[in-house]
This record gives sequence, C-alpha cells and structure tokens, in this order.
Amino acid sequence: MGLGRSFLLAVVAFAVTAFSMGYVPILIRDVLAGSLGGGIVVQIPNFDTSLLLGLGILAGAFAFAQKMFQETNVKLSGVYGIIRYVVVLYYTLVFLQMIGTITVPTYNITIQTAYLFLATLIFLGIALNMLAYIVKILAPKEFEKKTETRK
Amino acid sequence: MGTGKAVYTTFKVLAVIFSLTATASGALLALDMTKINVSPPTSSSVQFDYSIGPPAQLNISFPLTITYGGSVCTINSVNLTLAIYGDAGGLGTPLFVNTTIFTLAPQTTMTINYNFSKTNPPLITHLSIRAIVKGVISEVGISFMGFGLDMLYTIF
Repeated sequence: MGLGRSFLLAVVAFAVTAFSMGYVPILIRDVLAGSLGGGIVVQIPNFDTSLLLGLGILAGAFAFAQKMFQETNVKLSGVYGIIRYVVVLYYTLVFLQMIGTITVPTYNITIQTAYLFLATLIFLGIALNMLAYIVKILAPKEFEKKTETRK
Repeated sequence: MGTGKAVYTTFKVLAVIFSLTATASGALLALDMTKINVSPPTSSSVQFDYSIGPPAQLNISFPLTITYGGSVCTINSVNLTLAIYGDAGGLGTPLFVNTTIFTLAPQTTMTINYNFSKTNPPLITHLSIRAIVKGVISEVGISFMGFGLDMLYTIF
C-alpha cells in the first residue's frame, strides 16, 4: 500500500508540474492575446508552444520519478529531483528568452524586456531546491527512517 | 531531526519563500497593473513640437523601468513606427504623410524632420506605448504565476 501512496503523490507531481509548466503559459497567452483593447494584438514571436509543452512534460516525468522513489530509494529520488530542476532551469532560461521580445504588430512595436527581479527569485528557488536534493543524496538515511520504522 | 534533514527543510522553506514571492510579484503585475509605474513616464518624457519651421524633437530616455514595489522589469529599447498624419491643405481629410521606423536606444534623442500646420496637429501613435506596455507586462506577469504553481508543490 506504501507503493500506492507514493504512486498517487507521483501522479499528482506529474500532473501539477506538466500542467503548470507545459500548459498554463500557453493558455494564458491564448486567453490574453489581443485583450489590450482597440484591436491591439500582442505577439510573442519567439514563443514555442511545443518546446514549452515538451519541457513541461519532461520535468513532470522527473517529478513523477522523484516522488515515486522518495520513500523507497532516497538517493535515486534525489538524483531525479536534481535532474528535474535542471530541466526547470533550462525551461526558465528558454521561457525568459521567449518573453524577452514582445511585439505589437499594429504599431510595429518591439518591446525587449528583462525580468531581473522575478528571474533572480526563480533562479534562487531552483538553486535551493537542487541543494536540498544534494543534501538528500549525501544523507539518505535520515530520510529513510520512516520506511525503516514501518518495517 | 538530524542535521541533514534540518538543512534540507531549511533549503526547501527558503525555496518556497522565493517562489511565492516571484509568484506574488507576477500576480501583482498581472492583476493590479494600474499601480505599475513607468519611469520615466513615457508620455511626459516625449516632447513633440509640431510648430511650423523647426524640426520636431522627440526625446525619450531608455531604459524605461517598470516598477511595482521593487524593480521588476526594464524595457531596454522599443522599435516603433511613428505614423504621422496630416491634413492636406486643411481639407479635413486626414492624409497619411509618412511612416518611419525608429529604434530607441538608451538616452536617445531624435530629431524628426517634419513640418506641420499648427491647425492640423499630427496624430502620433507612440503616445499609446505606455498603455500597451502595461498590457504586455500584465500578460507576462500572469505567465510567471505558472512557475509558482510548480514551485509550490515542493511544500509536499
């Protein structure tokens, strides 16, 4: 039954990660495009739907593996966790590059932006998560106690 | 609680705090964009003299900084089309005069060599840039909330 609980958590992890990273940005872009009024259409020329979706699903798959093994094989779970956040890091860099250029064709306007404050917060969050999984790999026994007690 | 677990928990809590802050900043950008400040104010920094004789002056300082509380977004440059409309001979029919594409780099001062009649001031589309920028930033702000959804899962 322990496997069932881990499996459930893993499925939720996959669903949340894949949905939030792979679909939410696409959904928001589609909903808000052209909502500025006066027929003004906003375009993100570098927006690559399939790349975001693919990276979202990939990160979701690693999140699934990380949660699946978090109680039975902490080291392996930690490795999957680190890989997951490597994917998230790459996703973030790609996403920031994508939304760095926004065009408004009506006025032939190209807006180039840098989201330094938000990007810094996100990078710090990713780095701390990776460090947390490194700690898990270095001291796996501390995280396996619950499993051992059950046995 | 062992040292490893304590360090792990600390890292996780800090990660969640950073992620929540990023999410909240994105949400504020998206939902409350009326309080976003554009500095320098685009509309007031643009000085366009459409009087007869001397060429018109357009002064915009870049980068523009979009702020909400802390520093959030910097607009480094804007390519824009300056669509200028005039009234040929006061006939009342707007006449398309010219469209010029400019790239506004940091500390740009442009001289625009057009003369206009005082009675028929030109319509300059770039004055709506500020509203457009806010709309764009609000869209991007919501996108950032997507990151938070994933990061928040680390709580579990």
